[in-house]
Amino acid sequence: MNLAEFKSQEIGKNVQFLIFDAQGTVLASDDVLLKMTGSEFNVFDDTMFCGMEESFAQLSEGEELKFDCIETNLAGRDSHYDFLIKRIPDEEGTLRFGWVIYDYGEQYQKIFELQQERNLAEIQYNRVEREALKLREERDAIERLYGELKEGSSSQYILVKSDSLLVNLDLTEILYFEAYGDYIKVHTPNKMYVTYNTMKSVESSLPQNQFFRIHRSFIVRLDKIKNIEQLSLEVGDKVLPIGKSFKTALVEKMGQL
Amino acid sequence: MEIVKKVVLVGHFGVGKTSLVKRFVHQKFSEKYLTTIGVKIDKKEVDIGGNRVKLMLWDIAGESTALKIPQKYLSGAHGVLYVFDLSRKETYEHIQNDLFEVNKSLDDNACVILANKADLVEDDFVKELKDSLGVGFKTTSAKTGDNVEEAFLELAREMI
Repeated sequence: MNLAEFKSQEIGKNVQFLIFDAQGTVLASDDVLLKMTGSEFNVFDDTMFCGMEESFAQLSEGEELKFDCIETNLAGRDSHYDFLIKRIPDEEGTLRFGWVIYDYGEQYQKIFELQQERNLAEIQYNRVEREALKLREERDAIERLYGELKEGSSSQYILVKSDSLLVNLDLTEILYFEAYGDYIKVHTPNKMYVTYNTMKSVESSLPQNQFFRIHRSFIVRLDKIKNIEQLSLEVGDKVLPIGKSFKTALVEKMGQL
Repeated sequence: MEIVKKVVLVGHFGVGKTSLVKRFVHQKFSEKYLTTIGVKIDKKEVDIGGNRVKLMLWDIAGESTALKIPQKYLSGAHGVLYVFDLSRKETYEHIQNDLFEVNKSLDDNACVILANKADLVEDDFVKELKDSLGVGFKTTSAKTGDNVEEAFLELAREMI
């Protein structure tokens, strides 16, 4: 097969055909893209095929090797190429190599632009995901710490003002709190204290796993509850009302303990 | 005597494979990310113990998994540089599977793992990652040039 016959198999723009021997010497070229005729260009010295003499030699007659989307410098010309290597016999029957070079620089530029956009979008998406995860972890850690601090700081004592004295009252002694106008009554088995405070403020300062609001006027210590009826419960020797809106939450809370 | 070795660079997109080659071959670096499509081929000659070694560097377009790397690009490679980005977890969280896939095509040829963009993370993080990842790696920075030349030369030594 000569160059003309080889070329007749392929038609296209930006395509160069050449034939080289097993040593990489160019025997014929149409030089459409690259001037190779008469040059010292060697296929195995100056291209991506460097070091591939043996694998080329193993090709049998008619066998092809295809390489697509190769960005490289070929005989001084940078571009994106597709290559096709085919083992072909010349007129004397000696096996040579036919090489088709497709310069797809312009076409691949469009693919590059799409790929660039896709990759950047995915990198950005992953970055946002990572930052969101970090924020979620930080939020969880803060909430956990806040819960622990709340438990730790308020689980032991509460200061109540009784008469002219400030009493540091052990929370485990308290039966329940009762709203009393602008004051709060703090009931213990042996004594009742009156202190200036609001139910909301007291409730927020108490450990949630030890106290529970059962009514707009009452907060009880959960482990002091003796029994619960439909809309009341017994603490110490007192029966306290349960607000309808608090009932379900109270039963759930008791079930968790 | 000249020895020719084909080296493939693989890893996720955006980890800095092209920048590593650019730093190694041309001693240049650019902050701008330019994705690689297909494969980008470059070459560099190095001297290893008196031997002239021509490294044919096949910088293969990054994919999210090694399963997507076209086998024809890996064919005939003598060594691999597996690159990940220290600042992006998704580029190394499946490294064991990726290395397994790459090695299937490469007959246990020389492989050096590069943790690139070392300039973006603290040393303590690198130490922790080394303990947790289960594979040894070499830190590099294509930006500063740290360890880049050494990494390529280490692979070259392993290949000859």
